[in-house]
Parts: sequence; structure tokens; C-alpha cells
Amino acid sequence: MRGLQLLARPAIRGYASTARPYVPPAQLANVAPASAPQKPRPESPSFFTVRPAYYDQLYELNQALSLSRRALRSQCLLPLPPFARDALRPMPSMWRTRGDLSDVMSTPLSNTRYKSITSVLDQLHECRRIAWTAGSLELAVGISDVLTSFEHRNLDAVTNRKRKERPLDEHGRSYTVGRRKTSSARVWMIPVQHDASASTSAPASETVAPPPTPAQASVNNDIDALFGSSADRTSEPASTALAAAPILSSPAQSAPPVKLAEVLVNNIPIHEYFQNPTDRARIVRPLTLTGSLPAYNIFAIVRGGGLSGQSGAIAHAISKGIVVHDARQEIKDILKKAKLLRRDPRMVERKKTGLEKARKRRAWVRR
Amino acid sequence: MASSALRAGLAASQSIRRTAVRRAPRVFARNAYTPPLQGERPLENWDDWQDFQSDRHAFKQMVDVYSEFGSNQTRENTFQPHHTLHRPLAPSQATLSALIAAGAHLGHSKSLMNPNFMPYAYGVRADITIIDLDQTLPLLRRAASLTRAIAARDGTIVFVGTRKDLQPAVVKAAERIGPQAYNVGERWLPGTLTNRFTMFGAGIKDQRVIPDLVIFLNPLANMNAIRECAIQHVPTIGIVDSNVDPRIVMYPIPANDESTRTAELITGMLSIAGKEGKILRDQQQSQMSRGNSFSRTKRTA
Repeated sequence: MRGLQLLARPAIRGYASTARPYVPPAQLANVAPASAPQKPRPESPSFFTVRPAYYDQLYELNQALSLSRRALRSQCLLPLPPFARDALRPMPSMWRTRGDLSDVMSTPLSNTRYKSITSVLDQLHECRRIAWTAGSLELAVGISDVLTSFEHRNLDAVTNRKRKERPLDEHGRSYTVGRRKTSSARVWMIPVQHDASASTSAPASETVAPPPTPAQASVNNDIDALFGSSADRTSEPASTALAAAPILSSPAQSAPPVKLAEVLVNNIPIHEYFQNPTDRARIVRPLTLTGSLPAYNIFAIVRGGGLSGQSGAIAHAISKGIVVHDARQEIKDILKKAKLLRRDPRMVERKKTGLEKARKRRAWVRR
Repeated sequence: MASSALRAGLAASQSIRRTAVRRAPRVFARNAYTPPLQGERPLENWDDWQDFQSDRHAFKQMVDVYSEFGSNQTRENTFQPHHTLHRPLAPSQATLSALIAAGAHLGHSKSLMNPNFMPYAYGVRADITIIDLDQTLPLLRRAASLTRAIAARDGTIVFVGTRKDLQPAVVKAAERIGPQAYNVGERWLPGTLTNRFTMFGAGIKDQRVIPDLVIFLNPLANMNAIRECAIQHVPTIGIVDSNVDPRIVMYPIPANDESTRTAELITGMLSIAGKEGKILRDQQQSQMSRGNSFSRTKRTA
């Protein structure tokens, strides 16, 4: 009763104004308040956020997520113990790109907002995965209905894509490109052949490496003197070359000599091109880490930058080449851990106005 | 204007809700439990998963059986943290105990107290300003009464709570009242009211955009919005803490603005008051329409 009295009190002024004449309240006792045709209200409850489409969508997704979680909990599928989580079937998914989703939702999406939507989508996808693995197909289909409009258009192509295969060419060479700072190196690597023919890897390496220069020949003579040369060498895979070589005490014992790999940079032997031992060590590092130092003959063409940049580029290309020849996961892990497979993104920082160099400030003066 | 994706999402939520209801056997233990090292088994096909689920369900049922011999206090008849959000109190149920239990009396540090807040401060304890809840309670009921009256006259109400923990409260409050209530759960963009044609486009000329009441859960962080409401002559309600000048809003409610529970309590009360106002308006509309029909029959007769 008191509530209706609240409404029955009309909001009347006790005076006249130019807009409305004065009407004594008694005259309005049985008259309902004039319901002037009001303008319509905005539809969305998030109208005053200025991005109602985004907030409404997020709200709906969160509702769907809490419903799915409640359904899974009622079926004793949540919370899942670790051994059950490991047993879930893999289900790759990919969401629409930010621009694509902006078009679908017909509202501009910033990076943060896009990430907040995809995080909820990822959680919904996890629920779908659990439902599908456990055989709760109705729920999985229900969640799929929610997620289909957010999935990438070419979902099959995107989830099944593989890294581009970089095969060896008809001579068994790998061709890889490495970069560091402003240098880029193109590197051909061919496994060293340890067969009975006197000149090791003769036909193949001739196309790759020209005959050794006198300096290199002298080095080779020294090495031959150390290990001795023998004709009875069996052809072995490149990676076991070092393992096959026994440790000798005197050159008189018959054993297959270990031919060290040759590295040519711009058609110049490595010890001439890179006088600095640091640069040489940098180039050779991927080979020493994977134990394939005598395994490959390497020919590199490098352009741009200075010596240290060029040596880094060659090392990068050699690491990639090792992975092409030897696709074992252990080799990949070793090189990945040593950060040799990643193109070093560090570049020279630009000079700024008001500073001497990129970071060097001018001398501070009190006045 | 719901997009097709939004409509699809709505329909899909319904299908998930149906699935949830159909497959849910009533158990009282909330979470399933699998004992470590004992319950581990290879899960290779759907039958394995079915066995896994039924084992967990059996454990839950055993817990239910033995729960009857335990304490009388269960999840159903004790206070749970989500109750302030999902089971709000009506303004008529506002008591000092409820406010103290929510921690509404804890203000900010003594050194941060705004001198204009002095009338609403009870004192200082442990270097914290204690808010006088004997004054908060009638001011809260006044704010509820205002909300009810505005909702009854078909006014637009906006709940503003721009913190992560306040977002669910404002969303639920707007939902409770209905189409005439709105919420702002993240940042209030400056110019929403004063620069609205740039923000929303020229299409809003045919819409009722200026609200009739704005309720702030954290007014200190929304000074832009308060200023805009003052410029546009919109009445405001706000939860003012001891470091805030209570005159920034028209109807201050002196309480702790940092406590989620207090904010949910106050928002719940105001939203229920708004819902009551809406019900009153609907009753009045139906009475008026009945009154008109009676008068029509009289004339014909």
C-alpha cells in the first residue's frame, strides 16, 4: 500500500512556468500520469561501457564456461587428477585472428580484449576435450556449438600443417641460411665419406670445395703424419666417424685416419678468413656440441656486416644444417639448449637525439 | 543488437544447461576425490573412463551416507562466501550485524582521513578510522528507497564498479532489475555522457541515453564519471570510504570500499530495491489497465 502511495504522489510543482501551466493537485486525483511516448532505451546492459558487443560476448562465454564446468563436476570429471589429465586425447585448436574476430563481432578489438576472449575460449576448449575423451558427447557437442563461430576458418589446414621440409639435394648436400646482426650466410654441408677411395669424399666434395691450398695441404700432411694414411677404410655414417677412430699411441699401427672436415668461407679456408680464434670457435661450436666435428665438409658464402656477425651467421646456418642431416630429437635438444637454432634478434640500437650514442648521455653539467 | 555469434552462443548455453540438468544425479559432496596412487589406472577408452567416473561417484555417495552422522552444519545451512553475490539481502533485512560481518566499518588509515568525513567516523582503533554504522544504516536505507522510487518511475539505473572483484556484482545487479538497469564493470571511458555523440555515434539521438541514477561502488577511482554526472544533472549514490569527501556524490553511503563483501551486500540491497520498484510499477500499470477496462464496460452498459 505504501509502495503504491509512493507512485501515487505525482511530481508537481507548486508554481507555473513557461513550459507548463499550474494545475491544482486536486484536479489530478483521478488522472493517471501522462505516459508521454518515451524514446527507446539502449538494448545491451553494457551500453555505458561503449563496447557492448565485446562485454556481452565475454559474459555469454563465461556463462557457457561455468555451465560446462558444472556439468563436468556433476559427472565427476572435474577436478581431474594428474594421471587422468595426462590421458586426455590431444585436440589441437586454433582461434580466429584478432582482425577476423573484430569483423565477426563488428566491433574493434584491442590486443588485451582479444586475449581475454581467447583465454575463455581456451578454457572452454579444455572442457570440451575432457568431455570428448570421457565419452560425454552431448556436452562436447554443446560446447562445440559455442566454439565453432570462433574457430579459425581453415582449422584443418592450420592444425595439420607441418614445418617446411628442407631435403638434401641430389649430391646429399644441405643448403641453409643463417643470419646475425646484418650478416647473412648461405651454407652447404655434405657428410664426409669415409670409404676405400684414396681421396676422401672425392667426387662429392670436389663440387663443393676446391683442392686444398698449400697451407691447408701442409696442415693435412701434419695430420696424416699424426694418424697415418690407410686404404682400408670402411664407409660409415658421418655421425659415427669419430666413434670409429681408435686412440692410437703410434702412427705405425694400422687404423683408418680421421680426416678432419674442411670449412671454406667465401672460398677461403677458415683459418685465413677468421684470424681471431673466438670467431673460429663460434663457427665450430655447433659441431663440437653435437660431436660432428669431422663429419661434414662445409662451404659458406657470407655477406654483410663484420667478422663477428659473419661468424655468428655461419654458426646459425651450420646448426640448421646439422638438424637437416640428423633429425634426431637429442641433436635438436642440444642445439636448442645452446640457443644455436634461434636467430639472435639483437641488432644495433639506433642513436637518439640528445644522446651521444644509443644510450651514452652527454656529460652532466650543474648549470 | 546481438550479433549472430552472440545469438549462437546464447542458444548453445541453453543446450549445455539442458545437458547439465539431465545428467546430474543429486549428491551432496561437492568435489569428487580420487585417492593418489590407489585410484590410478590406464584410461584408454570410454569404458575405462566410465569405470573411473563411477568409482568417483561411489566415493561421493559414501561421503553423503556418512555425512548424516557428522556435524549438523552443512554447506546448505551455513554461510558461504558466494551467498552475498547470489543470495542478496533485502533492504528491510539490513542490520548492523550484517554490516559488521561484511567488514563495512573498517575505514582507511587515520592519517588518510578526509576532514569532511569526520561526521561519519566513529573513532580510531589500531590506526584505522572506524566508520559509524549507526549512520550508515539509515543512509543505506535512504539510498535503497531512492533506487526503488526511480525504478518505479521507469528510470535508468547504472551500476559502476570498476574493479575485477566488483564486476560480477554490478553485472548481477543490473540483471536483477531488468532492461532499465546497466552496468560498467571495467573502465568508465571519459566522455561517455558529455561526449556521447562522438563515443556512440549520431544514432543515439533517438535513444534515452542519459541515466536517471548512477551508483558507484568505488567513487574515488571514477572521478571522471562523477564529474560527468554532475554536469549532466544525474543523481548519484556512492560507497564513500574514510579517505573520500562524502560530498562528491549526492547520496553517500559511508562504508568500506575495499571490501568485496561490503560492496556485494550494498549492491544486492540496492538491486533488490530496484526490483521492488519495478514490481510496483508493473502492479500499477496492470491496475490502471484494469481500471480503464472497467470504465469502458460502464459506458457501454
